[in-house]
Amino acid sequence: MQTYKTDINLINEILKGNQTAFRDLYDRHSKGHMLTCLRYVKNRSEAEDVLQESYIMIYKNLEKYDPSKAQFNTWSNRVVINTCLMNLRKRNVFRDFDNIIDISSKLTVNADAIDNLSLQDLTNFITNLPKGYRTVFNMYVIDGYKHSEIAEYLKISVSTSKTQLMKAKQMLQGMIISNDYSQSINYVLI
Amino acid sequence: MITLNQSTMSLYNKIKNTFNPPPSLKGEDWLLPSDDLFDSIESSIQNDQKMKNRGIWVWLLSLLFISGTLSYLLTNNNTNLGGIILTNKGNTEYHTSSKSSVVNVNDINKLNSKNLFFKVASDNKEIVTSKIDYNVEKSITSVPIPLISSTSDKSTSVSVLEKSFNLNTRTDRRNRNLESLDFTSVVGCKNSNIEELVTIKTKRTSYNLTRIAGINCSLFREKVPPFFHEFSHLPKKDLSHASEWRLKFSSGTSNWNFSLNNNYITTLDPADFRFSKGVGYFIELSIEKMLSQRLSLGISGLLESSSFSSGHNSIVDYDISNETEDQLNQFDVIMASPIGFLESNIVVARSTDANEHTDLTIDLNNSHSITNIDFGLYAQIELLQYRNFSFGSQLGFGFNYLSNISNSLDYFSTSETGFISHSSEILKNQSHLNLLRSYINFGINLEYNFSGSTSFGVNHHFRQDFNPIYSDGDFNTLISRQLSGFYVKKSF
Repeated sequence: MQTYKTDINLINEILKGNQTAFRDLYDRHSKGHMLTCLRYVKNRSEAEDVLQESYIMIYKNLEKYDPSKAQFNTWSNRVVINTCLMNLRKRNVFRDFDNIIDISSKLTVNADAIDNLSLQDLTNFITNLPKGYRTVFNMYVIDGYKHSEIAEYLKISVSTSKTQLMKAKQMLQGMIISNDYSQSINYVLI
Repeated sequence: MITLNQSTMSLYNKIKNTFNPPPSLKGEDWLLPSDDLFDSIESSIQNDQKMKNRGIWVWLLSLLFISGTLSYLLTNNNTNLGGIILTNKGNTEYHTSSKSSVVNVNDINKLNSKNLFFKVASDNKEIVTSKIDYNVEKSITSVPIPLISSTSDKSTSVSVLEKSFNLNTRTDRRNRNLESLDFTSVVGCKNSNIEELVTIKTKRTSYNLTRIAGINCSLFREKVPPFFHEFSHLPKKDLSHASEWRLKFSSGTSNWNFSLNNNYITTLDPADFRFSKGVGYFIELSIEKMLSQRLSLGISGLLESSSFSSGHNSIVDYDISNETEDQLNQFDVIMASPIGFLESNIVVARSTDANEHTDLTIDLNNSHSITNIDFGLYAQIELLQYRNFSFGSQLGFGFNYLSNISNSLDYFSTSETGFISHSSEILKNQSHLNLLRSYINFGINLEYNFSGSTSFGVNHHFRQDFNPIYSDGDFNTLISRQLSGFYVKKSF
């Protein structure tokens, strides 16, 4: 009978040199981490690159993980987010944030359609935000960073962070109104 | 149906609630990474481990090499005068050459003779032969070594003023256990009297035996590696003024070379990033302790200032709606330098009509200044001597401390006419700097000794940092420095 090993058990085994345990840990958490990567980067290929980089970082820093401070999933997800941010910074240092998109249309949409959106649809909505909006939106709305922390991480001012969030919301609004709702979903899935 | 704002809020809330707390991912197979991703991760980790192990091995081997070299320098008593030879009526020879450097007291006892000869030879030509009047009954404490004979060869005629001197081994407390000492050590501990007693005259020149004594003493005490032997024949340097301690003051110019790693360069390249080498000056104070005639160890403290420039382009969105009444618009700009990123605020003035939004390419030009303090330990080896000139080499290591850095945005320009620079301000200096770094040092020097105790020289040093001065994620920058200058050295 196969016994269930906790994350801590697996980590202890990894630290003793058991590579199979690392594979088990990866299998257990990689989907969640992939979701994080997909939220932060533009496409799946980039997301896999970042995920690979993240797991190397996780492996290297496993000794530093303190179970008394956070669950492994929380800690490792922070590593993944940090790797995503580092990667974004590398790719475009000088134009971190995007211009606002004017939205003037006034349309109505079906509320039920929003309720029926899947995790994949929502992820694609986020992915289709421009980089600056997407980053601030992810950090603030989903990953729970404060504007001051975002400002420090991204080396921007607090007001810029707030502006980017506002623009992200407007962009989401734009995605809905600039397309027939069902079309917009198709659009973002491309 | 819901309104636009409602829909936005609804979608916003939907996203927020879906991802917080993290959703269950059962059945979400679209999130599964590709099959070979873990293999890539595993192979990257193994490669990293290999590189790490390789690095450790390189370090260990380097350490072993340096330790070996140092211990060889510190312990080898070989002479290279072609050999000091002890003979017993020509029947038995003990060479104190590098091939057979150990002749211990037991061996002398075995000779059981009063007719030991002490020879000094160079280039296989015997220059001095001395009889060692070894008296077993008198004990080893006082062994007279009279210089009693002379030899000649085709080119050199040597005459020796005879004089006895004592080999007073008891002056060295370590010699209590003489049985375990090698003969060269015993001789190496010898006398200073010989320096004033003997003169050797040849057809070409006159050697004061102080020099010969100098050779003997120094070579017995000196740790000369084999590859320096060829330079050690009959030094012409008068050692009568040599002293064990030296104080050295150096000054000159320094050149800093910044090595940005590929990721850093690649990322900055699209922004037309450029930077100059650091140019500056230094002053250095060193204290050297002579371990032998040619080898000394030193410690040094150096203060250095270096300046360099950098620049790149940056794109900003000039939004008229954010303008002040004076048609000014300010932007927070992240600027790159070879040693990390800094933040600045620039103000652009508009003097012409423009669209609501204009993309402006700003050309930023920065200058940077660094103050560096450097502490080092080094070994100085004299490789060549000619009259009062000597040529030497230095090998060492040390630590740098970046004590101060200042940046200024010298000027910036815009790509569009009608938009001009107004003012700028540095908001934040570079972060992720490694203030303390270790380095390895290699140097050469040419020195002129113009009095017994004072020398003047020029030197050139290459110092390579081991740790990056800037390191943030995949970005890092290593520094190597070249220091050229002059020095004054005083023995005391």
